[in-house]
Amino acid sequence: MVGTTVLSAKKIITMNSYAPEATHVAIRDGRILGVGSLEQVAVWGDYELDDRFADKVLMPGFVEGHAHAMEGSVWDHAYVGYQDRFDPDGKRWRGARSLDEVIDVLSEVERTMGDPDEVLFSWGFDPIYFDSERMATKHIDRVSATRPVLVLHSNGHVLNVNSAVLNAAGIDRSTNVEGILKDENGDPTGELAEMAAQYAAYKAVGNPLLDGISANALRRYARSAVNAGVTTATDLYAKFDDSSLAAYAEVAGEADYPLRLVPAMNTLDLPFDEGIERVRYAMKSSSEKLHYGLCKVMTDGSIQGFSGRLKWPGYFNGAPNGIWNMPPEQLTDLVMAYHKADMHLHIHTNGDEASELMLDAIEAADKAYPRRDHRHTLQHCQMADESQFRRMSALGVCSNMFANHIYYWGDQHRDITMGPDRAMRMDAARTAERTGVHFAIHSDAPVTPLGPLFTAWCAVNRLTESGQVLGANECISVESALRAITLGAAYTLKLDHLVGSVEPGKYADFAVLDDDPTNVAPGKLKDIGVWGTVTGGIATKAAEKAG
Amino acid sequence: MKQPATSPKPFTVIGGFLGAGKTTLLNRILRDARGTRFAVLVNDFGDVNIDVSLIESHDGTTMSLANGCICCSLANGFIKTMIDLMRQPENFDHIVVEASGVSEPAKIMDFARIDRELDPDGIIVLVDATSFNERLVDGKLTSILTNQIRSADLLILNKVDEASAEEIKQVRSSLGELAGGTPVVETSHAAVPLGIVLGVDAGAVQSADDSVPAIDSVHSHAEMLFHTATLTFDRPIERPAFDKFTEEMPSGILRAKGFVNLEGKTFLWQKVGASAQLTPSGNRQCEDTKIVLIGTSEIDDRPLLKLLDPEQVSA
Repeated sequence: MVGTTVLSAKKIITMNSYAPEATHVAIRDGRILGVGSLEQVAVWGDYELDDRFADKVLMPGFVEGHAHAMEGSVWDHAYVGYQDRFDPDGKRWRGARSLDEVIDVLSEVERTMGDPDEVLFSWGFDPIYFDSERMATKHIDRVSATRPVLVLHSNGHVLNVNSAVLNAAGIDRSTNVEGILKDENGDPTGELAEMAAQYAAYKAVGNPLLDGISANALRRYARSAVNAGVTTATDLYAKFDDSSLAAYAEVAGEADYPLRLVPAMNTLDLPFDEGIERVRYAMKSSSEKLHYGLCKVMTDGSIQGFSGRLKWPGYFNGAPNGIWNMPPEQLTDLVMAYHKADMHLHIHTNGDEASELMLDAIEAADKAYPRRDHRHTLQHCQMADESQFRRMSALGVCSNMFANHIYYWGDQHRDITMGPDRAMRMDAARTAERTGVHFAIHSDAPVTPLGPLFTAWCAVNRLTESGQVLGANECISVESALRAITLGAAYTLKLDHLVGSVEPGKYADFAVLDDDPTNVAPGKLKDIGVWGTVTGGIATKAAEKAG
Repeated sequence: MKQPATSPKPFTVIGGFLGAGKTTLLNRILRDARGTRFAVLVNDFGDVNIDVSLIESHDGTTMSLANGCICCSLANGFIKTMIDLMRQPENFDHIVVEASGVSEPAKIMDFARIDRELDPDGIIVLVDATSFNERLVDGKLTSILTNQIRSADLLILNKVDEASAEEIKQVRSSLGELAGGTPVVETSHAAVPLGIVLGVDAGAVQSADDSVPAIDSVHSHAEMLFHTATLTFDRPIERPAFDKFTEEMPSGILRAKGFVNLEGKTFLWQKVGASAQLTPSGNRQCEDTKIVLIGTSEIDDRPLLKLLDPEQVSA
């Protein structure tokens, strides 16, 4: 044997323009040797036929251009979000549709905990869906009044705690600090909205999410990826300290690790020269399953948190304009320094004032230090208007849009944050396509669930949680959406020569699907079953969904 | 309610936009500290300019200096840095935080208002006399700058040597509109006396003798004089008299701190710029009131002492 395997499938959607469909793919040394019919791939010599996917549809392994490895660590803690979610092991966490249901979930977890002092940490709570009263200590104390219990909201910026945490943190009616919500009697309700109040809670009882990434979290992240058909995924706000780099290297070196990791260093915490040096240092240890080079920049906040920076007329409900994570001129200097040093920038911009600032910065940097093919990417890029997309096109800037927002918060954007007209152009994938911008779409997991087929469904159908279409003219075709979650995303990562299509020479990475996405009703895209993935020729089965 | 094991650590926030001189000031604090071991939290280690011979150790996020100060990078986030720092209270006496150019200093000071192991000292905001007004009208910055100025207990108008008299006048006018009651100290090269920035306990006050004018240790730039005085009063003070005393404090007195015997109970009284607070002193009891005052001009303590005398007030 020469070590050639031929995979047969009902259909292989290659995303490869000269041969878009196939039934067989030959694999050698973890790479694609040939693709076509059995006769066409048989010319490479002896092979072993693997027909376990004979009734499946293969696509290039999906590429998630904006997610976080924290998806692998949050599931160590109780999920109390509104929608059903599956953890990396396939366990269904039922969406908690009311305050009572949140308490039920927490109580169930609490009963399984031995040590009475162990902290019960939970995440994903989103009261924007509830009309009922606000969560308070009296509710969480029903779970336990003695064990510290923390409920982190899905936005990551608000925290609810029980009385055990308030006591440990020394927060009482005499504490006069912004962000500590109080009831009509002047007692704290346990809702802590600002950094200082959360500091007090975390100082007293800890926060498991404050630590850097671990190898174990990366393994769990990869399990989530397999469940969604993803074989290449970013960790788009990474610390590049020694322990994090060691964790990436450890898992990437494991033969059966099923994910190609693309960590993007958070640039905001380091002086420019040190950050650039750190990325260059990490790049020396890039390998087949570990691809360094991306640099993440945070400019503004979020739209639903009213912290995104908007141009006139601002927030529909009159909320004041959002925040900058760094002074605008420093952000501009950062772009200049990293661009000059040949770095590849992935820039978080939610509001249109933020995307405008960054387009100005990239234009200035490129004028000073002209570069071909920099592929700087505006991430989220939710409110960019058509004129900004035209500039992106002219400047060679890519856009990776947060299509899942349309479903999860589209109703709120139409009614509260943006108003009906601007909400229609959120995550304007069709405009990106028309103006010639290279684009991708993403989940921002764990903010929303990792699942490129779901993300594609959002971009194709643009349906909100309440079932209304938000901006029909920004819908894209199924073909465009499938490209966005494969080659489109690979392009923004400068990995399109290695992943994103089924072509000879590329990694043998596949999403193994139960149905053909091009042959189901567009409304069913999200319902297509995922058997698992093949990464470098090694198949990994998705977790059985349970619960 | 938990009481801290040791006395709370003073917590000072240094705010201001880009180029206002925060780094220059922080470098001076680290270099010129005497007796007080500051923990200085900075956004960017690269800007800390300390003689290498003074650095005893450096582990990437914390730098220890020969004079006992430590300098911590905020690269791990403010919450985590503070939690890690507060686990080693034996290693420092006073925390000084550099607020990033876009942060809201008051929200940083809230850490000290909520943590009983910390004592909210003051928010000092530096203002660049050469660029403030131009930036204030930039729509992307207006709300940030307005918030910073309004949060300040004390404003340091820096770089006055680079600004014209007209520019200084215009910036002062803007500051007056934004925060009328807040004292403004003019300086250049952030050469403001550390006693004003960090208070009388900070060890930076070199004039040990009462009312002897001291000269700040930075001689290379425009030298700035400051004055101290210590008021002592040997009887319990009536509340109305004390209120009158605080109301009539001359505006040139920028900081004050001391224990006050108020109708037989001991309180700690602290003043930074325009804001003052009176808190129960806990276990510490004293018969005599003793308050140290710091100002930019000579302090005449006689009229102040008179205010504390109930006979004078009722007369």
